[in-house]
Amino acid sequence: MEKSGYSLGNNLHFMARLIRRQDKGMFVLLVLGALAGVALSLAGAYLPKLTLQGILEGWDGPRLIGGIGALALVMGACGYAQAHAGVAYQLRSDMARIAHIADIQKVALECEYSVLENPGRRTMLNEAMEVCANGSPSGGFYGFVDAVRAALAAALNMLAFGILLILGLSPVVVLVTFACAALSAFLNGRVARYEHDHREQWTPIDKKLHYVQDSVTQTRFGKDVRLYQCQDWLAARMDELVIARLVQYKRVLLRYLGADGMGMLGRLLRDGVTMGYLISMALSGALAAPDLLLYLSSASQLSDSVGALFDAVNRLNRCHLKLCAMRAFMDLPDVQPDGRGEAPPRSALPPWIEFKDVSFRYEEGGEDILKNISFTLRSGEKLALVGGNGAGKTTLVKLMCGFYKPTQGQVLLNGTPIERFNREKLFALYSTVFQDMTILPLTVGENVSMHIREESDMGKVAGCLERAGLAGRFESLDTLLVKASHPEAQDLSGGEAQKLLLARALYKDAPILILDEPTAALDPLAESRMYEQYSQFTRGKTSLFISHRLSSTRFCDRILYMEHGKILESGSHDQLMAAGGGYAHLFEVQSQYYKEEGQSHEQAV
Amino acid sequence: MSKPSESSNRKGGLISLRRMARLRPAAPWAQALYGLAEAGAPFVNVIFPAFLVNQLTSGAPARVVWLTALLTVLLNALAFGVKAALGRWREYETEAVVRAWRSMRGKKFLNMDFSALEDGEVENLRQNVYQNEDNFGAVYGLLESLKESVRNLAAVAGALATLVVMLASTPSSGQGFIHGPGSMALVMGFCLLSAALVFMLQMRNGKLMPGLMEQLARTNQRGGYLIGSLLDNYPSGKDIRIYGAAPLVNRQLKDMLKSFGPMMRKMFALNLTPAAAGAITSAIMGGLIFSIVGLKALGGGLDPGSVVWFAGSVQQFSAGISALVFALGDLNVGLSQTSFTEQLMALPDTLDSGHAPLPESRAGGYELEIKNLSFRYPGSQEWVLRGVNLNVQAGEHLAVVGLNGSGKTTLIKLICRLYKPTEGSILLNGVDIQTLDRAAYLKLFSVVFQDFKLFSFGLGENVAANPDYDADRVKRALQRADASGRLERMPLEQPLYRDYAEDGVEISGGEAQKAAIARAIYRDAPFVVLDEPTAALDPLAEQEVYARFGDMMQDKTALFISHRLSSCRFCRDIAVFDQGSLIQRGSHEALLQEEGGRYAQMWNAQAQYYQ
Repeated sequence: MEKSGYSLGNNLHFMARLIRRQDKGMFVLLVLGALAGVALSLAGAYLPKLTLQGILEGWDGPRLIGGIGALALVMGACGYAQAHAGVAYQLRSDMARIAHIADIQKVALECEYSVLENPGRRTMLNEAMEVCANGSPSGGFYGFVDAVRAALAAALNMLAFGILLILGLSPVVVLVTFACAALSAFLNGRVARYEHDHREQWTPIDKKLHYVQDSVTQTRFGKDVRLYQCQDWLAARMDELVIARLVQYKRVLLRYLGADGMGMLGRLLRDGVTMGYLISMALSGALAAPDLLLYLSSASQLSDSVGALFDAVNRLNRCHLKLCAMRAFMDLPDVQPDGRGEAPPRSALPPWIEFKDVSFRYEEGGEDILKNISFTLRSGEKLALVGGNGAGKTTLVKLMCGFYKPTQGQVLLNGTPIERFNREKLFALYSTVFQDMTILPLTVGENVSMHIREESDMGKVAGCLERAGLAGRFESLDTLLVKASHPEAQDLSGGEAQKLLLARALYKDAPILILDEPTAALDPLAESRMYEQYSQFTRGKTSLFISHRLSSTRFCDRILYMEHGKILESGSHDQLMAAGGGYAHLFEVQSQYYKEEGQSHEQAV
Repeated sequence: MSKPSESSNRKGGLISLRRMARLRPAAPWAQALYGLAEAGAPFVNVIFPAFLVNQLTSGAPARVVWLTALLTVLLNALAFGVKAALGRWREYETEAVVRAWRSMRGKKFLNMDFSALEDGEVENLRQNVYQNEDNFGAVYGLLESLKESVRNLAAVAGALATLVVMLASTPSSGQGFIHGPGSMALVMGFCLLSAALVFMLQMRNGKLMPGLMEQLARTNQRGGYLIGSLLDNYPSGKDIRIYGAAPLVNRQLKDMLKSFGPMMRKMFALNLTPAAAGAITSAIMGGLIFSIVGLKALGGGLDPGSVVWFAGSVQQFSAGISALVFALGDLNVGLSQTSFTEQLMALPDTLDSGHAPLPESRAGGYELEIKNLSFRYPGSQEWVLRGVNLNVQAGEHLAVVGLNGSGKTTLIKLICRLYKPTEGSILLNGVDIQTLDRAAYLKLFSVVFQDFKLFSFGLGENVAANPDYDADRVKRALQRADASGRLERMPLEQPLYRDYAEDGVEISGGEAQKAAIARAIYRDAPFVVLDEPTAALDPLAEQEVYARFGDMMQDKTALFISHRLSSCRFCRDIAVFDQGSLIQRGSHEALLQEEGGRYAQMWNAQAQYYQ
């Protein structure tokens, strides 16, 4: 079995601490429920014995009724206590679990962005979330808490009936019972370990099934699925995968069945020994019939509770492993920010940024996406970044924002390497519009201000929406966005989304403005409007503009031309056109269709 | 969609069970048989100890006692074995049903009309379905409560049967109430009364629970969606960090968590009452029964063994009744939880009724005529298209341009039969397309949407949109879309993206667009529709696509939407839309002449920077 980073004891301690913080009462409920359960079982076992004893010994009526009544009272009280404690414990466990979801969510929001972009780390984050999100007994968090309860209850029962049998019958019976249950548990545990060790045989199938059953059936695939008529073969693929998955499932079940068979033999042994003792003692007169009853049911209770204990421990182990996965992720160094770092220096002028011989690759042994990049984005300058797909522009922006550290070289802001700065305070200096359009399932106002209502200026929000070209689009700033999240929510078109993102950047009004393909979804008039207003938007700011539409470069002071991770050219539009290099070529290629005296292309198509 | 009534919920749930039985006929049987085994097994320990007690107290010969003992042990082991085997079988069948159920859901989404898929209410339904079935395990729960219901029903019936038998064969002896049949009747009466009480409590629970669960689901929905979207759509992390939006998101989550508190407390009360009532009535019943039975035996009316048997049966009965009530209650809740899927399955597969074969293609091919087309989305008052009249001759290349919101993309969706016109019609060679067989009609179209998606399968499968493909044809299509690019060099089995195959590779937006274009090329349909096909491409790649246009669309009819008006130079004809109407039509030169016209306005706005 693979090494888990935390011991079971460590996890128990972790969960206990967590629960104590959240809900101290749960410990009381746990113990109360278990004790009440034991008392209930004992009273239930004594009731027939007492009755039979009374009959055989010829007690008088009131004495019999008195004894029965007392036991019934105990059973009633304990039964109620057990029910109350059980239900309360269950519900509170769920509350604790849900509260912990918030903790994981916090991580997703506050960790280094590089963690989210890394597929391996992202999988770990998803798994950690799954541990909490799963509210069934097989979920890591809930299952662990539930298994502790089950284990405690079973252990107490085992103790009670075990002692009863040792005192009244023989330790041998207890030993044999325990040994047979242990054997059963051991065999089951072996199959469980097999299951765990071989899970790479089916987790890929589950991943594929999730994709085909749940992802590809989403609305965003809807048009292509229908236009390219993929329904039938996607459905067939679902069926194939289900069959494959069930084959794996059956393999594991058959192994469990084998363990069950051995368990049956174990039972024969255990019951045989117990019954043997009981009958021989009864026949020799050492045991009265009522006690026979008592010990028979006690033996049954004992073996049930030993089985339940082992079951609970197995479950505990399984959930423990899942918890380990969650904690391993939460304890990764770049996952929890340490809040250190200095504040960037304040200055009247907008910041300047320098890349000093920066090279970058995402992974060790991967190829360099940026190679020896050196340039300075001067204070208040409007810089355009131009280059083909794969030139490295987006990666450069990620380094500029501080999402990644350069593999070599330095990124400096006002002369200080940005690594030294506190992340939050660094980010406060940037307003960005990225290519992936992030619209949150919240209100329009919240999407623009990105802050809670009490800290937002709705008047300013309205103004920014207007400047971005969305005046009058929304009835109210409280309109919800993202249709899938709420029955009354709306979706924005590509162009509208892009304008909202611009409004977001304008609202924040940070000294550095970065726009990455901000006009890709805009129509010609809206695009032109954006260019016309660009100098307004960037007044008093340092800005970077990336676009494939080279018309945008007319509004920038300087242009950087990139190819394959290197900066090949730097200069104004006129300078670069005169130089006749890569930029000039790109510009000619795009502008040829717009030129008045361009050759007629009608015959081309 | 109106809220389904409680009884229709339950009826819907029974439909669910029937549906599960159709998906996997053995599954309900597996649940039932296992339930019966679980119910039957404890009876060995009710019946045989009674025999043993009688034999011991009446001094039966030792070998008889030993025989009984042996039989007890053997039967117990057998019961265990049978139960275990049935249990594993049941696990398998349950898993099979759950998986098949998910496939069933998925297939429904695949096959429904696009207009239904995009509908906000259906999207909501989907969220609820996932929430209940995948997060709350509704299907598992339903099967489990079915099993529990059968089990406890059997236990109760069995216990009742033995009690009745006992009652019938017990002679009444002695005077007094205790020794007459009246006492037994009292016992039975009390049993049934307490059962009725717990039953009523559970039914009240059953009325209130589904509503509470639904409330829970709704509160969960926004929060759950927020969490899910942040995890799945991780690039949102950039904006959240830059804009310091963590407190905003956290506040949403905290609010959601806070709302759980009162709901959970209500659920606690609902769950506790029947449980507590069950425990207390159980105890009272135990006391009452053992008292009456004990007194009767004291008076000589019952032998000791019968006491044991009686008491044991009553205990089985009372435990069974309690558990049955819970099982039925859980069944009730479970039935309502699959009601979301039932709503889903009740949606019509398609509103399409056309089955006619395609009209004959005339000499040049197919002509598309849009006649007085008006459209607004279902449930919306706003007209997206208004009285559009447009003819596209066979072999024509038409550029469709206009400002955002002018209705261009919606027009394409209508031509592709993703939606039906609200007014007016679209004709193919004079025949209304709604009357034509949909599959045959769609075969005429190769489309690259603005928000196209590629599958995470192999490159070849993607280009061919089919697992069976002609490798040479795929290679040729890739060559035409991405000559000497990365895709052209990629092996056709190479899976794209990483959310399906373990060895998938990431491709850039531009590469994806080329793959989508290759897909359209491979299909080789007479109509080609391209919606912003070069939006993610850099100038050089864009030029390559333009250069190949002629090649790609030689003898085809093409509709081309783009904001980059440079592409209009490649189309002989241009249609200009504005706020849902067709306002201009003509060649590039002709439209430029129309001073103050929208086309001229857009062209100049874009071209001015390139002079």
